[in-house]
Amino acid sequence: MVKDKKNVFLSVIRAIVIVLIVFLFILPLWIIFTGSLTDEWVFRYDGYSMIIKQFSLDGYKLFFAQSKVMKSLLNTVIVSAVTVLISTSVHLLTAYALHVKDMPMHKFFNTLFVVTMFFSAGTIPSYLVVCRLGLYGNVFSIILPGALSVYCILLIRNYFYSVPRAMTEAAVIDGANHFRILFQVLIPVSVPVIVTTVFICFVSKWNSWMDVMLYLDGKEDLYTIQYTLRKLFTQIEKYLSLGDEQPLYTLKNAATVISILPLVLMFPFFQKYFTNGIMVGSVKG
Amino acid sequence: MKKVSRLFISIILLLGIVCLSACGVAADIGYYGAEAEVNRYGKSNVTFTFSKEKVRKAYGIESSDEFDKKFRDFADLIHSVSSGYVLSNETIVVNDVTESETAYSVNVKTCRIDKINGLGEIVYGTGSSFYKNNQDSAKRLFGYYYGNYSETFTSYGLDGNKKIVEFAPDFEPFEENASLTVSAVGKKDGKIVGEKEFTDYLSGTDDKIIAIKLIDLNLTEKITLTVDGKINFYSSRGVKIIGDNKVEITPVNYAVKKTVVYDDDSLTPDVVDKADCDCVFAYIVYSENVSPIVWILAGIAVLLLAVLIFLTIKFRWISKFGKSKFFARVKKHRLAYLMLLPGLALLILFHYYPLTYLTSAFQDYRIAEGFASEFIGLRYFRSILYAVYDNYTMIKNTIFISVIRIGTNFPIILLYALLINTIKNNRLKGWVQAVSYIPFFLSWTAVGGMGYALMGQYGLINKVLLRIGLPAVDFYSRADLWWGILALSSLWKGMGWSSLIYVAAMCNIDNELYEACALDGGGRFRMMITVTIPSIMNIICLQLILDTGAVMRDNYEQILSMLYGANGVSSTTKVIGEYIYSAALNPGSSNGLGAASAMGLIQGVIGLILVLITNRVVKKTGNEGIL
Repeated sequence: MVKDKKNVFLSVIRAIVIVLIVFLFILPLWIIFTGSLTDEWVFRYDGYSMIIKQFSLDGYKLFFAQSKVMKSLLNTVIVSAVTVLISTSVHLLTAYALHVKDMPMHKFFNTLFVVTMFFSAGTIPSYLVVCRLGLYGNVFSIILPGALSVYCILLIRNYFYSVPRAMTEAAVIDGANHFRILFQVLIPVSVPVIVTTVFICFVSKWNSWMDVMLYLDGKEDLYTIQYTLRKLFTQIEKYLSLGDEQPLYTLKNAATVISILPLVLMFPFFQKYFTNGIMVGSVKG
Repeated sequence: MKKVSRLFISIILLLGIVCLSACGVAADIGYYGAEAEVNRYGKSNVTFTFSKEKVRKAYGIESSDEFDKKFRDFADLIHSVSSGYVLSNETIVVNDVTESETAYSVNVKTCRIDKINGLGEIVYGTGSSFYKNNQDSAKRLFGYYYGNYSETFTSYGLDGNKKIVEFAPDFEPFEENASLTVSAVGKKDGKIVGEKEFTDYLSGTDDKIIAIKLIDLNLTEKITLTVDGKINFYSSRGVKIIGDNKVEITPVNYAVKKTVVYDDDSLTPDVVDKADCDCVFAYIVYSENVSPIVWILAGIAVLLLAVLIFLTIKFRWISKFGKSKFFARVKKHRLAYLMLLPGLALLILFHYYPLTYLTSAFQDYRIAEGFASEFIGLRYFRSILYAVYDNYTMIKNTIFISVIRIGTNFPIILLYALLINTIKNNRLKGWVQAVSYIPFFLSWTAVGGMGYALMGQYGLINKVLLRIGLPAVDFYSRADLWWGILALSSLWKGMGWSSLIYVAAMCNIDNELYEACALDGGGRFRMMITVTIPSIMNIICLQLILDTGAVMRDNYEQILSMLYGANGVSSTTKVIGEYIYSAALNPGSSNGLGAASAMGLIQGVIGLILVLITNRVVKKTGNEGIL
């Protein structure tokens, strides 16, 4: 009896904690969302809040009126898509090659890749390499260096390891070469992990702006959205300190919402693949 | 005997003279002024010869000892106003002071000449970077004939007094007095070159440019400048070119507005509106001779290659290899090697090739000079160890921020995973997890904005505080709070995703183990401690190893994003990343790429050591490590 009461008590506590946690995760997103749809003056008086006291789309209107914004959104989409294409192809090919245990120097190549996760030369040497390759100011300076993610390669490789040998052996008996094994046997089975890595790569490219700051500063028509946002925020601060009357606070919130909106919208479609992809991939610890 | 000994003595004398001139002992240079030799790193070796009479008249110096002391004090003064190297007094190093009947001579060694302040203005660098950074100034090099602008220069005299000269040249008539560019190259030798042609050349060249603007030279008749290269262009006024690599510069008299600020504070500055001043405004553009290092390396590479080819042919390695079993396997999997190629190429290009640039951590690295930059060894590392204030705070902050972040995040993530694991309803479990890893996919810029929404002036937290009756907190100026804020925001952003690995692993635990524990009378907590945690122990250890490796790596992106704008809290948030990025983004800053490289190297090496140590510890406790 006592144990039941204790269990019920614990369950209630657990439920409260979980609700609290979910609330805390959603809260910051929610207040930015409401902050973007509020009338500017109500906002300036009242600050951020949980409900929309007075609805207004002024923030969004001002946002889309900024000339550079649409271009940089487009840039971001293109850059992310191209990176994902290059990345995924490279990842799949490399992960496959690294999983063939019979291949001579298999261990050597695997170590070669894994070691880079623990020691990297640092920002300055990478910067110097990109400059030396003549990519400074070129859009490929943000695409190529990030195209290879050893983490994603390892995820996919481990997923390949977990595929039953019977499947690959059947293909080999049928006379398939490595390419056919990869494309006709392994890839169809590995959809969860591939989707996961596609999403991870896309998101990381979408969100990255430090590399734009390093290599593309000054080339405004190549900016991606996060960097444009930063520049926008600095401008907004300046205007605010001068006492400007435009809906600047709501502009800031609207900009933030727009920058995360595509990801949040894509999220549910990809989400169901994550646990599967990560789980099988990493249990091989 | 006598003939031999005479020959012997003259040879010794000759060698002695050669040595003396090579060692840069102050010898009378034959005129009053300076003889300077600039090496390929911009450092120079200069011998000054001044007339005793003039020195006495201008500065009241009577003896050679007095001159020696005055000059050394002067060198210290120049050092204190210059941006010399950290940890060294190398701005001007006095080697030697000698005197002859009528003159004093001083031999000095200087640091990179463009780092010397207090002597007017000295420019040294590659033409293209000079043009890129100083277009205005570059245009003004030719012809000071834009007339309606003036320049102001500061210069210190031997007496320690500061002279500020306002210079507005009036050139009448224009052609005779203007300083234009003269070409020293090929067909155009000796001919004046137009401004556009010169600026076009300058903006695209790797040639070095030295521009000297010295003012009020009352002790100098002539300056000789020798460089390690071939001169292509020089300025016309007061400059005569000698041979390929030497110019003779003669000061020209200008009427300027001169203000003398006395070293002795009690005296008011002395202003003369139209003072006669002997000044030097000269520049040369020259192509440097190829560094000997390049030749040596190339020679070694060719030698090694030749030896390799020779051995391969001699021992018929190629055909032996072709018959081996190893090669048979390689052939069998040749497609796999092909598939490996693109990934391998990218890996080498962007992960291994940068390692070769780590040599920049030991050099006074300039992009234009590349690998041939001056080697300075461990100077940067010593300056970090000697805890120069800025560096010390930076490293302290980096370590504390990381340790606090890992110390709080690591256990909480694990606890959160355990909590999630107790949810039996799979749909609910999925939804809660999904909500918790949405923040992982947001950018730090967006999170920075959300931070502002919570912590800003109008933020939610302050609203709630005010409503309860507590005073509002200005988070953005409370430096002491930021270690916690950074740890918390990292937790918020990373908790969901990092816990995925744990939850996924927990899913795979055999149910029988739980049942056995229940049979033994274990409650929920017991099950967690004896079943869940041990089963995922190797994953926990893996995460621990990876996390400790990340201690030295700050998340500069996070700090930049959450603090965009005023950074009043830099006493606790200035991290190594800031130093590194500012070096890359501000090429002219005194940080330098070499110093930033050194910092990055330290980060990497310490991180690696921590990984290895944690790995060893983990293995000792019976779990699987990474390596």
